[in-house]
Amino acid sequence: MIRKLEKLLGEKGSMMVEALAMLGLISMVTPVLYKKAAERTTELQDINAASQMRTLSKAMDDMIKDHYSDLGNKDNNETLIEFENGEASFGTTDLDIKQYLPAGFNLEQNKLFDDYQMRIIRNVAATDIPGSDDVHISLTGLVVAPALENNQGNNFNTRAAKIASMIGANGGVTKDDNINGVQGIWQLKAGDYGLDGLPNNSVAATSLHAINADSGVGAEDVLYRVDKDGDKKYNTMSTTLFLGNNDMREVHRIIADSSKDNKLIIGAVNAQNDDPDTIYNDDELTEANLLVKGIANVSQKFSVGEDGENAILFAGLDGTNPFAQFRTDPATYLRLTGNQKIETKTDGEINMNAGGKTTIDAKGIDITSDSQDLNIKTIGGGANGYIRLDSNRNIVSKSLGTTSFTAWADNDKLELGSMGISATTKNGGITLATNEVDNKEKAKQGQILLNAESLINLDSEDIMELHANNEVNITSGTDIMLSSGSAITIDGPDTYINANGYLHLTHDGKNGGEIRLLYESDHNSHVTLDENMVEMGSGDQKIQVNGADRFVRFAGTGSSSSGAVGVHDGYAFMKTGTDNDRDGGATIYLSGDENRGHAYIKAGNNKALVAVEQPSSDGGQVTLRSHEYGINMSSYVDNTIKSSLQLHSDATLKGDDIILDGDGEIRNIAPVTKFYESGSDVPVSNNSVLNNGIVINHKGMIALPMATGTKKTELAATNGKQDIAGYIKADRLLSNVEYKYPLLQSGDYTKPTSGNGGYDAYQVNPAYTSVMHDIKLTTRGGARLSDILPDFINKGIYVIDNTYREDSQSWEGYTVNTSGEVSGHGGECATNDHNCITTPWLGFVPAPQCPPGYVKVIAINPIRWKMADAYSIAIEPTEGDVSQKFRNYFIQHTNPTDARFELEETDGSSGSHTHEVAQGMPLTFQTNTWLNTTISGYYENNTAKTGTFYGWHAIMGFLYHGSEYLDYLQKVNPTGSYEGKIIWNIFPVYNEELAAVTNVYCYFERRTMDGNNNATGWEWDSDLVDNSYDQIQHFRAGYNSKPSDYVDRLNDPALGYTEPW
Amino acid sequence: MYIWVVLATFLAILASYTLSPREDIRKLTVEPLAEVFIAKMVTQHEAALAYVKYMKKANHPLPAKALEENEIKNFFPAGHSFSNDFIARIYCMDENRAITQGSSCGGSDGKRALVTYSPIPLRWLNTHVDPERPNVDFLNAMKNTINSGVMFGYMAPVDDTSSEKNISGSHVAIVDRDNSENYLYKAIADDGEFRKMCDVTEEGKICLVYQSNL
Repeated sequence: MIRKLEKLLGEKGSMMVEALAMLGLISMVTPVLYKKAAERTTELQDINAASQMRTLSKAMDDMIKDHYSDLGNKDNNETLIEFENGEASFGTTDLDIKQYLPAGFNLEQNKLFDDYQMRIIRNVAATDIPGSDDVHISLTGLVVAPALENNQGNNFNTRAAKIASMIGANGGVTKDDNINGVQGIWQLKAGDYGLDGLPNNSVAATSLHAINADSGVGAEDVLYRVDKDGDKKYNTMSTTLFLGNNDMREVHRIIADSSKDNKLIIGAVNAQNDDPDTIYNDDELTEANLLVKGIANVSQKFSVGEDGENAILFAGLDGTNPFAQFRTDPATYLRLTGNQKIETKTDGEINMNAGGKTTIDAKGIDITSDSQDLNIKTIGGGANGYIRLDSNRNIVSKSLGTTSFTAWADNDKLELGSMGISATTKNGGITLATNEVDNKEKAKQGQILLNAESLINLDSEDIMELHANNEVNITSGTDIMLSSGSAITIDGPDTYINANGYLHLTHDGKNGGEIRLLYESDHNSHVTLDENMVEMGSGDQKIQVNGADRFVRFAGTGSSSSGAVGVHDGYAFMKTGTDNDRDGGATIYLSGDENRGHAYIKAGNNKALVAVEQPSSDGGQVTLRSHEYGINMSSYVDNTIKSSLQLHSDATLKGDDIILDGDGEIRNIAPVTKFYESGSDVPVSNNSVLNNGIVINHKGMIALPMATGTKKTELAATNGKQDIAGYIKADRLLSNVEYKYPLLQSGDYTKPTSGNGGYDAYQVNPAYTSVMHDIKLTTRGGARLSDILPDFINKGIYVIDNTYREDSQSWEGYTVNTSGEVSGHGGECATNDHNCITTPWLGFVPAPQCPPGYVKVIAINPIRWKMADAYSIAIEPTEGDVSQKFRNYFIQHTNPTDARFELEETDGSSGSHTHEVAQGMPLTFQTNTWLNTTISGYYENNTAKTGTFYGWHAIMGFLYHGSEYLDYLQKVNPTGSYEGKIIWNIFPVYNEELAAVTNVYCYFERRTMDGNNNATGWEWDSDLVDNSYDQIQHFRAGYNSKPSDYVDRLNDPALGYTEPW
Repeated sequence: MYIWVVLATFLAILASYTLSPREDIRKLTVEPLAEVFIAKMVTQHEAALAYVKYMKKANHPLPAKALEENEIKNFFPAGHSFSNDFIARIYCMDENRAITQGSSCGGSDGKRALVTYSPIPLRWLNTHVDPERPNVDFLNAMKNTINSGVMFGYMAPVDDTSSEKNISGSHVAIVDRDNSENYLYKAIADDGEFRKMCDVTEEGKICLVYQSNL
């Protein structure tokens, strides 16, 4: 029980604690609740304020767009329109923004801001485009809500910015007279727009989009319904107009403009897929319907293209007329006008029935009838009932059938043009006939009269016949020309062709055409060509005598003036005399014209023989003689004119001087060609050569080409290896110049006595033997000359000594001229002047003159020097020249007695005493111990490797390390730099103390050289030397075991011989 | 027990204040920030367009080039100014829709277009999708800023280029405020200058594009 009471006691205490806690919690949370409630109220106020600004800004924009025509008028000069209580007056427009606000919008109900102020800003863009008088005007609306006085502090600026942000991108807030757009997107200076003194934290909204002529109402992109200031562009569509399946009603007129092909196209296309920029061609609108209604205007139904593919003019509405009709009233007429073409197409007939005359006036008329006759006729006769073909040019009939002009009645006439008649037929004929018998000038019945003042041209591609039962006279005042592609036949009892000018009988030679003069065989008549003058053509024309064994005889008064040309007994002949035999007769001359004409005797085929023969029994001869241009023999070989003179065996070409003169080659293709001295006998053996045979080839050469495709070793040995192609066999090859070098024995150089040595067998022009690949010497065991020639050729030996005075100039600055004279040195000492101090430069050694392929080499060897002199060092002298100072400073002992030390006692009685050097010096110094000789190459102008190489400076002297003799050197010349250098001749070297001998060589450079004559490597150039022989590696092996190609090395591999001999 | 009820009531009231007072609070507070970016670009494009039309009216040649500040600064609304963040470029194409150059272009068979473009700031991009696309706030801001009927929107890749509307066969679409696809001319999408800043194949180069045919 007690425990239960205690529990209750505890519960009562807890309730009190809970009540206290709740009270505390309420006291803490309540302010938060109030704060949150206040923030919510504030936020809602902000949102509402922003919404009001957006509404006002939109209303402002709408108002500006509606009044843009006035506001955007360029003639208005105002740049700012101010509003009072939402109203403003501008130009002819009263602006009231309240008309654009939502119903119930109260401009004065704003809890956070003062009364709204509004502005319209006109921004006129200056134009700088030449020739443009237009200006660009953009309008911007501005709505400002000034902050109330208690909201102008800093505690409100964040809230004002938040409100502006909620307006959107066109929202803004003011600070320090500036209206700043959200996040700085725009900025206006309030004072510029009549808003001076605008408090901070005011909220503004501006037009987000510039309102101008191109951005909305008033833009030229909009089609105006009314006349806009007389400017057509506002009423002009600049693209295809789509009406969206709506009708176009109450149209007054539709007028096509010439800017688009001058066409009015009415059709239907698929508007859904249509590109409005496309202008369709007519044929692309074939499926379109054009429906014109209105019986009062078209009187009958008028429809295009509703039935099938073709446009059809429909029959009358009531079906009374089975045709479509264009009809005019009696006072007017129908005109079809087309710039390009007026075309009528029908599957049936086209009938043109005119009450008056039908005139077709065109630049050209084609009347074509397919498979039917084309009839042009007059009906009814009368004076004007004829058909007249009247043309300023030709009237041409190209009918495949007959072209017939027929006059039926007696008085009818057929007139063909006065300027000329050209009748051309192919497979038909031309018939001209008349019955007008009374007029002599007109052709009568049965006659054909061709009468012209100028040319009558009867031209036929086939046979043309002039056929008469009586005479045929062709008479002309000038020429008569009968021209035919085929035969021309004039056949009559008597045929006269009488011309005052030329009578031309011509044919073109086609199809074997010919001109024939025939005689009537039954009466044995003949054709007579006037004996006074008969001319026959030349050139390709020919005179032909038909039949076997016929001839043309030239009948003269006797045998000497008669002759014949013809065929008889199988010969064609031309001979003089009165008989027809081929033999006999007198002289026959074949001569050309007087200048350079030719007379040809020509055989018919390859086997034909043209012979000029004189029977041997008569002992005569055939002479071909020409006085000026020689005798020309030529034949055609492979369509090329080639001269060929073929003679029988053992033929002799004999003359005083026989000259073979050709512009090209003179070839001798005979197996053996022999030249003999005149009168000598012909040798029996082909291989024998007469001593007297001489060949003189003046200023030329003998070329013996090697046989191609064969190797000499494959020839039979019996032929003799020296008898194959490529050899010149001769006792001697004699130079064409006099051989003056007296190697031969005295006497006749050209015929030395045999056995007098190796030089009497041949003489070879040395200029050409020098380019031989190599020469093998029998006297040296077959050694090749290239093998035994020395690589070094000594070109000179010079002995040089030091005779030039020491000078401050280095030999590197000396110059050498082309005569080998050196300038820049100090000059030579006097002879035997042993006190003359000399330079290490001993002189200049000229380069040897070497043949190509050899390099210039020098070797220098010292042969005399004076070195390792020992000196005693005296007190350093202060006076005298260098030589004197040196001799006073360095005392050379030449007398051994004087060179030893001797001590002299000067005070030695007792105690300390002093010894003095009575003779000699306590120290010795040895100079001139490091002898050196060297050379320095010299090029032209003393420029290394850019000019001609002249030779070498020879240098000889003693070397010293500068660092070792530094003290002495600095005393001699304190300003010099000697550390780490090699110094020549620190201590004097006197005249002629040194001497050297130099040898200059030409050294055959076996290595490959580059463009600067520098060796490219240590490998020998195989083009220059036999690099298979290595004098180092083959030091002994070459003697004991010759390489397998040893024989080839001795031989010339290029010639292909199997052994050297 | 009573105290807990009271305590819960207070807590619920407190929690309620964390909720937005209006459902369209993002429209009122966030989207305006996106509108600023969009509006700046639209303003610059419209200024460039006004300049181009003004020059056309005067028959003055218009070369293919990026328009500069001194050319279009007078065509901005009052208070607005030129920004180098946006490129307004005139493109000229021949009859084959290939880009041409020259002092004046866009002949009778050619096309001429004014294109303003700028990469969308990462703040407004949803980078968790591939390809990247603007977030809902930005898309709503597009609706708030510009009317429909213009070729203005963000770039998106096109997989199927065979659409009839895609005349040039472009692989880049301009998705406008109504989520309908228009197509950037292929020659422009492939243009090297354009791709320096805008390229649908690269991350962070999704652009806002405004294309107007001239």
